[in-house]
Amino acid sequence: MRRLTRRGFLRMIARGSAAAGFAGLWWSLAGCGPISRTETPSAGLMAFTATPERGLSPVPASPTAAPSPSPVPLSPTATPSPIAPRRPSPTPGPADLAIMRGPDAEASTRAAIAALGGMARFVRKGNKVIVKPNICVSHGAPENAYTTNPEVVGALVKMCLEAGAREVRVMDLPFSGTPAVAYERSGIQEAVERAGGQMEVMARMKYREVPIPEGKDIKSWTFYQDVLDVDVLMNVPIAKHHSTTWLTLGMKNLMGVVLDRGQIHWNIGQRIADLTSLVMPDLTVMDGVRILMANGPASGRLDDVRRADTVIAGTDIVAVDSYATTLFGDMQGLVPEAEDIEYVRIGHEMGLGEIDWRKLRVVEENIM
Amino acid sequence: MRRHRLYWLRRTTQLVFLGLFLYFFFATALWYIGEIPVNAFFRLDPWLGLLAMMASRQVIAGFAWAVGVVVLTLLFGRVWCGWLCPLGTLIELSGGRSSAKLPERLWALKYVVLAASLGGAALSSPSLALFDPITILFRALTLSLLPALDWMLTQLEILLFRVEMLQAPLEAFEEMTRGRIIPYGEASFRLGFAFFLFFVGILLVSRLRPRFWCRYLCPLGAFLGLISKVSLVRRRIDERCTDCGRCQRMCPTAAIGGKEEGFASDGAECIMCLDCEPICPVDAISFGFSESTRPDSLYNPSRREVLASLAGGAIWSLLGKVKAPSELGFGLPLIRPPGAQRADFLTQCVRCGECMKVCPTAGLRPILLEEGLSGFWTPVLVPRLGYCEYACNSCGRVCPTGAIRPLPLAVKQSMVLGEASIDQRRCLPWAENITCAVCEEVCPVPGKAITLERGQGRGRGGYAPRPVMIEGRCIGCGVCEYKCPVEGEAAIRVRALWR
Repeated sequence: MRRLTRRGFLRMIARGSAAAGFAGLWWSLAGCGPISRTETPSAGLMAFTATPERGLSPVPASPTAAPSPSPVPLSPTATPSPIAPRRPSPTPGPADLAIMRGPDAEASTRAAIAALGGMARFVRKGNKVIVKPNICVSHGAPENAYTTNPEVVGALVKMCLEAGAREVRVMDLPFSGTPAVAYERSGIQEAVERAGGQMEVMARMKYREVPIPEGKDIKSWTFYQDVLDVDVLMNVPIAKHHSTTWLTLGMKNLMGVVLDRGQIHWNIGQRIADLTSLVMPDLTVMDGVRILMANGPASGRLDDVRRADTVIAGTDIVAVDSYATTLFGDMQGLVPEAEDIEYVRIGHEMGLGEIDWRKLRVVEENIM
Repeated sequence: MRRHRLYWLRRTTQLVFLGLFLYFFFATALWYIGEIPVNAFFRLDPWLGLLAMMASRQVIAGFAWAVGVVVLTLLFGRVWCGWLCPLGTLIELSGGRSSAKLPERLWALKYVVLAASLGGAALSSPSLALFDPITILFRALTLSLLPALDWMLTQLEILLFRVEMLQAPLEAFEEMTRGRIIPYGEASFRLGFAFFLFFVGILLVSRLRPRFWCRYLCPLGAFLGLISKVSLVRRRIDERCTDCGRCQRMCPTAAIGGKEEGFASDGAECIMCLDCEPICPVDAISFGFSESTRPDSLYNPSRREVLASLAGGAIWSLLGKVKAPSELGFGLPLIRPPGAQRADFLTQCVRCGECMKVCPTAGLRPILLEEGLSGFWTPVLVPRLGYCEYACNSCGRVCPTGAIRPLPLAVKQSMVLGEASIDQRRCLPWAENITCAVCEEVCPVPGKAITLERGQGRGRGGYAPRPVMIEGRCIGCGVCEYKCPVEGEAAIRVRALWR
């Protein structure tokens, strides 16, 4: 047998690696993409891959019941990993609900947090914070009021860092458009980076299927792992009209932390409440500076935007949403009230918060 | 083995250009295509430009750069092939040792392909641009290699993320590569595997004969070869030649003739790799400006050959005009990218794949025969696989021939690609009284193109709000079809508007 020289050995390794790489490429190409199905002949020969957005076919149901499938699992062998539901538990403070009105969004935000007892009530030194604004689309500028006001987000990031947070990450998963573009177009990326925080594109690898122990309709869903583990979760929605739920507020903003949103719509009120029961934020700061009065969540014209110049902050997400319904007034002949917003009502019924915000300790001020 | 003094320069230039090609390829994914001329390699390609301009009967300003390549070839011969072409570099890297014997007639095949492509272009079809080496490499990367890489890496990430220790480096990896090297959304193209085989075939067949593609098939090589016949710098053989035949045996493109031709080389086949010069034991070979002491062999086809080639080209282009049934109205009409809604789109599209690469949702896909041979591999929007992002106008910005016109964003947002219609048998509110309305929610048109028909009590007590199209507003972007949560065929589908 011929002696294996060093060169021969290296050549063998090189050839082996090339073959392995080639085989890997072949295998990944053959298996490329999740489930593939060919369409019916009427649509041509195009095959398509099912993404986790699409789920099971509709189950025939009576008019009042909705189907309750579990979401498409990430992989056939993924088992849901239980995580304790988040519940806010900040140190006690002087108020539970702060409502600040004024032309300067940053000043109003700062005043709202100060009225609650300061950011130190929510963020301890060395904490990791996730700020979850509404960055739902990539085709709107801040003036369109599709996405959270960048000044509000920037102010919150600054305050978290001032309170000693180790890192502040800002993220959302848009329902339409590329995340990186959405981050930039909404103005939030610039505001966050100027404040010293960082934007994060939500990576596929961090989603986990998690059981929802208090869920009435859905028993588990696919969540972004970091949102469940992080020290401080700050929910920063923008108050807008919505075609299905009438208004999209704080509880609905939490849809951005799950992967598959399509099926949430099939029983949207209950399912949003179920999601909230797992991932309740430590603080909700509602952007009511510019609100979208019609054609929400992201198809409004500029004259559908109204300046309400209000920032609302609170630990009780149901109460914040409940108060936020009062910002709107007349919407095409109807005036929304908290009980009209199904997820708010159900949230109250499930014990996730108090719908009658007047029962809380409220601070209301005009900031000039 | 002795090397020509410019050998390392040539190798470096090859690698630099390959690297530049790859850089432009990955840069085509960036939203902010901006100042980087990501379609530079296509615009340098004179044959591609000629096809596009002949077929569309107009001058395309973007191909001005290609004049530089023509001038380069007039000066130095086929240096594009030997020094610059990225596919040529890959072929050379994967090739075996030269086993050139006597030149076979097969090398005339690339001239046939060239003639056929010009014949086709004369009849308004640049479809043989499919055989351009730049488009082949670009398409191979877009349709097969990058999706495979993306899928492999993403699956690995998901797997490895369970290990605590690896989470931080994986996050760093994600941040470095996502959006830059690997795309945001996963894409897989149905033709990916087949095209991968074709591409690998081109590389593997170089083990049989070095530079197989360049020698026998490449129409760009043929085009540049014809120009090289009158190039200034030539390979020369002087009287010292002892007829040993070593140069002929090692020439990668079999450009060097036999004893009868005095081992002179055909200017059209020589790719200026310069490897023959140091091989000669008596230093009889040199490259330079002055006339050769032994005459170059000339490609001297018979009249029959030339006529046969041109006739082949004409027949090919006529075949290309044969339409598959879809265009006669039996199948679904096709949704073209925004800026491509023109009858003469097919005369300008050179099947490069740039639009498919840059499309952020991977909605642009190649078709096969749905619009006849003349539409082979042209891009079509398949909304169920990827919608036309409202805030994006990238496809028009990267298209090298202007087949997809570059449109300012506001103009693009009002271009009508098609029209959506709701299938009430599958739509959940209509068919099952289940609340959904995702389509209406995501519609980006200001004021929406879909409205919700409601019963009493805002959906409580009454029936689930039912989506209804608003006449005349839909632009056919397809986000509704993409997001429709019904499995299988969507309950709201976009069809192209009949022209």
